[in-house]
Amino acid sequence: MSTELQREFAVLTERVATSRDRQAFAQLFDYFAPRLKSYLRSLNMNDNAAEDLTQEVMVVLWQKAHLYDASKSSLSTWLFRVARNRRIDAVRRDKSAQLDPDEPLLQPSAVQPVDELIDADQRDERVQEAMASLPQEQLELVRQAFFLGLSHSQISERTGLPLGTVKSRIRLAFGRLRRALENDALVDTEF
Amino acid sequence: MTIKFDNLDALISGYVAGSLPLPLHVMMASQLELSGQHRSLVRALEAAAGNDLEELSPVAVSKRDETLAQIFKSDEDGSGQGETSTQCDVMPSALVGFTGFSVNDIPWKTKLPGFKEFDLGTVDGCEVSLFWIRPGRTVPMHKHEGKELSLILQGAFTDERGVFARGDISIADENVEHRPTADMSAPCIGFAVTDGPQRLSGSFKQRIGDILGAY
Repeated sequence: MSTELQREFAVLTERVATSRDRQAFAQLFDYFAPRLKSYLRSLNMNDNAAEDLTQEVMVVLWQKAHLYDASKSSLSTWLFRVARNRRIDAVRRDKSAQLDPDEPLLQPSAVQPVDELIDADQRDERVQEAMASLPQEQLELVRQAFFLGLSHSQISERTGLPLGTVKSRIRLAFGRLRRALENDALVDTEF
Repeated sequence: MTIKFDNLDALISGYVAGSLPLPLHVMMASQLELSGQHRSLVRALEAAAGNDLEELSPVAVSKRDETLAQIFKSDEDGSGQGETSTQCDVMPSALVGFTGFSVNDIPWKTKLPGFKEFDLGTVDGCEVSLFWIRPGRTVPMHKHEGKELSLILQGAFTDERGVFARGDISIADENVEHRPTADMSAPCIGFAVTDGPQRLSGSFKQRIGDILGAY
């Protein structure tokens, strides 16, 4: 991911927030909507449902652009969180439709309530370094866990790797990531 | 004091991906409000997921202009909600939102002297409850065939594994002789999630143990 691209997204979002700039929004839409749809499709949503939810996420961006803080996360990360939370909401709606739509957990503003200790650029760099330092075989498995939400046994089924191998590779990968992030966490881990 | 008995990595991955049953998602969101222990890792994985989102091959949206027009029109619905307060009381806001109660209005039912419970029933295949243990009281927790996850919200309890305090998640299973004793400092209040009955009888739902990668 290029930092330059992220800066551009931040500028466009700012324009949406401050002057309701439709052109700026359309640019963001053209970049993110097809990727959000792709993401939701990869989670086995059908085409219609994926488009509906994509629209919902983009509505959040249009209405709540002022809540986005470029110093805390990239716009991609912010939209990923909104999409994740809206999907949980949508699944619940399908099931029972009895949840309060104002439930704080499902509000986009509630996704980043905790204080952030380092700014987004720094974190992105560190994450990218840490991710890049992982052997490919570990990275692929970890991504299936945190991006696609697959359990160890599902990953084992999908990849044909023995369950024990999946577990040990993921454990190694998380160990590395935690160590790589330790410097951020100096204050954070003191509980 | 935080003692690491169990590996929460799988729970963290599932939280980031949004694939956990709702009660576990709420538990993890609450944990992140209470403690900084896993915060950087979660934020880092979310940032990585954001990068992954950029790298997916785009899939064209069918009615671009129409969709855009609808989004711009959404303004007029004026669905501006108030900001959620992020102040963290005994009950983290994620948990207040999920249960609909703050700590002072929980409709507790006394189960044993010094032990109260509020049963929230079965949600997403999980049994969900809040518990309250009087300071110094030892309670025999019901034995479960599956996993029992408890997030401590106030006070602390000790069992043969050690001490669990506010912000800690205890993972117990049938192998743990689970007789927690609450600290003297304050009543111990916690949020507990276990496999529901239908989950145990081998439904399509993932069992908590599978989610945690414990099998």
